[in-house]
Amino acid sequence: MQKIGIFLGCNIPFNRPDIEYSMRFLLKELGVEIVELEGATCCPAYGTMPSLGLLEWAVASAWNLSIAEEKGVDMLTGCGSCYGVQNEANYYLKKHPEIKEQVDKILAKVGRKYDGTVKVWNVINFIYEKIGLDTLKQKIKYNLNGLKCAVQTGCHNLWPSKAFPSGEDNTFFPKRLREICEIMGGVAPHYSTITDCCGMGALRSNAPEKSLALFKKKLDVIKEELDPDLAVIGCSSCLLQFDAGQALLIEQKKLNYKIPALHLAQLTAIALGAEVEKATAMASIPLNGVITKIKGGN
Amino acid sequence: MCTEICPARVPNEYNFGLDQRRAAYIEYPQAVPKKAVIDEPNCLYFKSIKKTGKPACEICKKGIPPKGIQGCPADAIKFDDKDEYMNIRVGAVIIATGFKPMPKHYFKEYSPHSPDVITSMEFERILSATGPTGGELKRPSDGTKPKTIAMISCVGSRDERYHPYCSKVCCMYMLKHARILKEKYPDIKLYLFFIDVRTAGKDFEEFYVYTRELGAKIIRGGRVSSVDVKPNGKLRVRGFDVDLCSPVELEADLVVLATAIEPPDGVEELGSMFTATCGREGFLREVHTKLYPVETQARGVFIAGCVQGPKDIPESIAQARAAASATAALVIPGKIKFEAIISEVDRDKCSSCGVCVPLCPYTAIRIVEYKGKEKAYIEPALCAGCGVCASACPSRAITFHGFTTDQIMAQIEALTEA
Amino acid sequence: MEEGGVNVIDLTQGDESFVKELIALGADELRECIQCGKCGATCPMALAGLEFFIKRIVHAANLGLRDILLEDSSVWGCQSCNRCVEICPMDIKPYEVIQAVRRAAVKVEACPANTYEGLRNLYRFGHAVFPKGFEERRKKVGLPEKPPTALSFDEFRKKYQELLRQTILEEIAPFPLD
Ligand code: SF4
Ligand code: SF4
Repeated sequence: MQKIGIFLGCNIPFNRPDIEYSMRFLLKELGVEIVELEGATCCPAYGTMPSLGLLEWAVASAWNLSIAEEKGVDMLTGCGSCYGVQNEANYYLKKHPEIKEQVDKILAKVGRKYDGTVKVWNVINFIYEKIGLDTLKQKIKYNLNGLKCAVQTGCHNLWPSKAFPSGEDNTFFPKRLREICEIMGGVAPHYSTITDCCGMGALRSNAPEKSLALFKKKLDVIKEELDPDLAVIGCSSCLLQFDAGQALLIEQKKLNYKIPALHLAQLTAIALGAEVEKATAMASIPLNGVITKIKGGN
Repeated sequence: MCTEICPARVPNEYNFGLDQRRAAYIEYPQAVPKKAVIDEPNCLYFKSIKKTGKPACEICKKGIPPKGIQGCPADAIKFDDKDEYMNIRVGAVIIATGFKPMPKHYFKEYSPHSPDVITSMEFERILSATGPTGGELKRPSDGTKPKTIAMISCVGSRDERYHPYCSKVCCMYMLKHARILKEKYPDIKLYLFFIDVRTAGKDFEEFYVYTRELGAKIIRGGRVSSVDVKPNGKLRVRGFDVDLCSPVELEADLVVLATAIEPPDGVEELGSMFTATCGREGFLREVHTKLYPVETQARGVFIAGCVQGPKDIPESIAQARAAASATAALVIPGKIKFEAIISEVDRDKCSSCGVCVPLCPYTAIRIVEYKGKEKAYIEPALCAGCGVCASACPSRAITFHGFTTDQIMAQIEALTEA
Repeated sequence: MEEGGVNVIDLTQGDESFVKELIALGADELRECIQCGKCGATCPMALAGLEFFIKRIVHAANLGLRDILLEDSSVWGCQSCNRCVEICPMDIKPYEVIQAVRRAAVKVEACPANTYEGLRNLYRFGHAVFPKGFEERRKKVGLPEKPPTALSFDEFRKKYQELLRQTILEEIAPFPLD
């Protein structure tokens, strides 16, 4: 039986535990043993330790990686930042032996060590590579019934590609998330702003108006080119923007349409038969239509 | 030896007057042949002879014996030597006069009166080990070492008021200067103001990036609007930085102007001696930019280097070699092939009026004796087949082969038939 | 941007030691930037209309314009999306320039308040993002009130704090580390 360390980060356990529920559900359904990474912390977010120094970044990530290493498992995260930050830390630790040396010293002081063996996965690549599209197809209970999906992989899941152990053939033309949606019975066409930034992150914290305007621009293109039933998101931060951020735009009367949004973990969990109330508990944009379409089909 | 003991001093032309040379001098270190000459108008011997009939100085020849200074040990000083003009008969000529850098006085907005505003050519001399400062970096006004230098590109080039063309080599030599300076004085602050950086071709962009790596600051979209002298002797440089999206200013110790490459003085007269013509910009014109780049419209007259237009050293060398090959191809066989389409005089018809002679742009027509009379003769090696003489000849004595009157009439008939 | 609002940048302020500081802080290829603008055409900061977006930041960094860079908070709006790193033709890793400027700014306390908030949360709870009311949200989906992270394990949290104190945080944190 496959085992994986579940890395929660911050936004998922505190803001969107419905994603955590969904991740746990789907791993169980897909026959993957969940290993808790007790004592893990923030990845650490780009605006924190990474903004203080490369050593600061590497050592704080090494803390988390060492916990997984100790348990002999790789890590799975639903958050793009956690994926990017920790993969980059892994990359720097390999690239800069002098930093690795300092990291080792500091880790030793708190009784830990990290040899660099842990691979960090996101939900997209985990399903794509470790589960496999065929297995997923067999295991789902509900077919997406031609649900039209607009996918958002999320920048941290794509770049810097050289720091990532695996991923898309062409990060500027991502296909994996589309293929996953399609194997579950959805329709997930490419659209011209598929790799555009949703505006979540530091921009949202430091210039919220501009962040939302950038997001709206992307949404408008999605609406115009696809007019989808659902946005399927590979990153929890993007989901916050697509869901709560979209609700904010609607509240500010800046948007006159709605595109419901789910994290890939949520959508997969629902297709695998998770409790919809739990899997979508924190959603701001109503999902009734989407759920009816999925459940109605079987 | 003479170049050190000659007491007469004059501004050194080779260093643009930044230092002085003697009246007995070697023109520049790489001069060919590397021999000393006496500059007659400035030599005290000649000056005094002219005035009083007696020589006041022969130091180069005799030295100053009381001080133990020897004169020319080879006894090579010959005051009675004269300039000589020689006539040589040649089969072909290559014109390679080089160019002239534009002087700074045109650019009033850049404080040309300041000795610390200099042209790149002058700066090149300052940087040279054989230059006026012996290779030491000093600013002309007070001899101090500049800490901040601003270099300005396209001064007089890409400018409808002066020269609309790009001088082509300035971007690269500015970078070269920057690189030399940065390698020698890593702490020097260098600001290079470019409209844009033109580094076409192999190794040039690499050179540019390397110069950036050395810490030279590149300001683009940054044609400088003014250079002003401040009371403390520094120069305030104002420009625009497209990359910062803002006007910028800078206090510099020295300002170097990359002034335009101009056609050399007198090139037009020189060209017309050979019936080679100049283009709009004043450089000698090639017959065809792509196919005949070293030929002029005068047969047997070739051009190489900056007399044809701004170019760098590799290009000049390539062109010089091409010109040499073209010359060899013309001269070495000892025979010349004529073009088929040229004009010819039927000397029996020629009335000797001579109308055609001055009309020929290629000076191909001469009056020569024929059957005891003066008649026009067209030198087939020089005729370019323009046809001007044929249409002008009142006696219809000139046949333009390929375009005879009969042929042209037949064409007109064919065209007007329908 | 000094001189009583007159909009001229004085290049003489440019300080090469600041350039060297940034290079040491990770922007090691900084000087090779040819200002081609590719990063600026993809950067969400630029597209969202921040005044000092990546291309200008890299240039200002190259000119050593310390004050201008530290006074402007744009670098803190960088998404860390690494689009620029992926496409920069000179392999400048422009994002590393952002991080280097941030690292220089933190040393002189020139960063927005929310940066410190994140750091404080990270130190106290092991989580930079630590919103109120999470217990309720977790209960709603049938999860334990606290996730099994450092938040639930005092001994881990203590160790983690000890680890953080071994870094520069110890010097720059404007909040007590105990
Ligand atoms: S893409 Fe790279 S080289 Fe181009 S402007 Fe940005 S940092 Fe400079
Ligand atoms: S990482 Fe930062 S600077 Fe680079 S493109 Fe993304 S937002 Fe812009």
